[in-house]
Amino acid sequence: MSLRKFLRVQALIIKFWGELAMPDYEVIITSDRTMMSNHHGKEFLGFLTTGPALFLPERMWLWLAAPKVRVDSEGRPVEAPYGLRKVEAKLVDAGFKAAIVDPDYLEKHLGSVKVLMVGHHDFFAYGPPSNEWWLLTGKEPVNRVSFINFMRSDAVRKIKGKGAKIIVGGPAAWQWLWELNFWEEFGVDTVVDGEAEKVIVDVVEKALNGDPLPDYISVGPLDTPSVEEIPTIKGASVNGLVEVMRGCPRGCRFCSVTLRPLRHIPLEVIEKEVKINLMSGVSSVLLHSEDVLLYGGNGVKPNPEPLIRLHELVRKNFKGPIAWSHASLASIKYSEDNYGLISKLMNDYVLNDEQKFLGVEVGIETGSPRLAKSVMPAKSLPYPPIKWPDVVEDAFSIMHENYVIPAATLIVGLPGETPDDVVKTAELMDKLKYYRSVIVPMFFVPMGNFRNRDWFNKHYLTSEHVDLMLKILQHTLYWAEDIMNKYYVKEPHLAPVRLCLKLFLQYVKWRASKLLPTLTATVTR
Amino acid sequence: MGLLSDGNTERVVLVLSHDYAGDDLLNEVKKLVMSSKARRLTFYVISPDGRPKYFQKLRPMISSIISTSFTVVYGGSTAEDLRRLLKSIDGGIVAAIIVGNCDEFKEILESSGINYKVLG
Ligand code: SF4
Repeated sequence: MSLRKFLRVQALIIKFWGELAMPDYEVIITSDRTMMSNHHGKEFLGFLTTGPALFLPERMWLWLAAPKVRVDSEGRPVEAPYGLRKVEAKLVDAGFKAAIVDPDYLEKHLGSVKVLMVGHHDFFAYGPPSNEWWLLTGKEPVNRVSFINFMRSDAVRKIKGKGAKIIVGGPAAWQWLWELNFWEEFGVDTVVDGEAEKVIVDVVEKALNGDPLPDYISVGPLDTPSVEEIPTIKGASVNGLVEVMRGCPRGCRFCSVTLRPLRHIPLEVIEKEVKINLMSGVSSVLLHSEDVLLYGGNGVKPNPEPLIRLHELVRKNFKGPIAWSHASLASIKYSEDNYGLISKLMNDYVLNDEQKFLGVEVGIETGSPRLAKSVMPAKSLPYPPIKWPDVVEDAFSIMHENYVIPAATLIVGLPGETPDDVVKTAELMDKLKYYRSVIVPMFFVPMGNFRNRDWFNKHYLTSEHVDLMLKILQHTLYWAEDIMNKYYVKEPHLAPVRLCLKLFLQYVKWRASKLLPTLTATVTR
Repeated sequence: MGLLSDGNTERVVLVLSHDYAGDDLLNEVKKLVMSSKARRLTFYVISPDGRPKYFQKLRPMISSIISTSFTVVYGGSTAEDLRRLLKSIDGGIVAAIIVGNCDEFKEILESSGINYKVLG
């Protein structure tokens, strides 16, 4: 036998035994590529999936925003979205043969799968900022296109064709109510809306037993899991995301998170999850909470001790980059003014030879104290809503001095917004122009206590809105370039990504200069 | 006790004909949620729109219930389906709401001793 023949036979034998040895996963948990990616290790690049492909072919855009992830021989991703990891853990703990599988490898499990669970942050691009890019450009965002293509893929069709149940869920579950044609086309059996830990075992058990399933399940605040009922992840999460707190005490009326109770995850559990991520080769830690600075805090006031212990714990295990998912501007100001805590955390724990900045998402939402008082009265606490613009500016200044780089959101079209409120927000933008940050405007999407309000759309845009959006664009383009030059995507192996991002920034500048006269003329008319 | 288990759940039957009662349905369901002593609600829906199109009529209702857990189950489109549904549920229905003018459905609910409200 020639060497070539020998190697081929050997490969076939290995494949045969590999397939024989493959565990029979009855429950497969997955999502489309825009979710199943580590975005080159840069969480912020994931935002590119919320827009349409601009100046690049869609495949290339997808590579830039959501490259494929490493998988094992069974097609299980090394890193997977944290929400899917929690569902997987709950099911595995309950004794099910369940696993997260990369969307490209579903066919490997055709023989065993009986339940396909699909999770997403933004199934149909109705969430912010996807809906906004969609409205402004008139093109479907990549996340929507990718998700629909995934659900129409051969693999999903074959799984459905063999009688498996399809269960979808996640923070964007409500979007299925607006896409009933797709619901029907994809053969979705059940939509689960809300925190799933206390319901998912029951649902899967029923699905496996062939019992009838409800079409829609909405998990209310009383059925949210306690800290003890939230399982520890079994495999690594995307970019090392680890939840430190669930819920938020601030009660903004446009937010759905706030309807759920506040839960602080114990340090031992956090450490376990950090270690699981590090052992899988993930090289970052992303502390997740709606306000990381409230970890272990008293209501809306940060408490230094638990926060120091949290950062100490991470640094004890890991020298690489740490990020916070979200922090509130009021907490940033309060913790620095009262305890010098931001400087302490940054100087003593975060910044080192390997880390030159810390990224975080923050919410400005409005610069109008009147509107702040009406739609987010507790966002500024312990400072009064009337002081909101000052709180924002002070927090931006603190972050600038301490190398915390925020990606901030502003909401356009909040219920009750007047032209004067928009002008106030524009005035605040003028004050923020000195501070290193990326600011993203978002169109109001009805959620939380405003779930039955009207959507904001481009026909409601006024000249004040256009003026505000231009200020935001100028601000973000200026600082994005500065951040790229000094801090972001510096790794040599990411040179092509860096080049694409630079080209993208140039493209946006050029498009904005072309679009400006048309936009101004439309609104003036 | 799981959300899908029967305990501590109140069951409501919604019969939705083609005529949509909009805010009336929303207000009626809100009243039900407020007065409910149970932790969870299950809505059984009879609608000629079929599954999942019947959700078109339920969107405002679903988005306004934020304090309670609930499930929505499709029960079919005809009077016969309603009869079958009531038999399979085997009691425990706290209320029924009929949207539109459907005498057949009313009779079935009456004969099962279920209180109902007609809207639209
Ligand atoms: S502070 Fe953020 S997470 Fe908390 S309620 Fe407001 S918007 Fe929601």
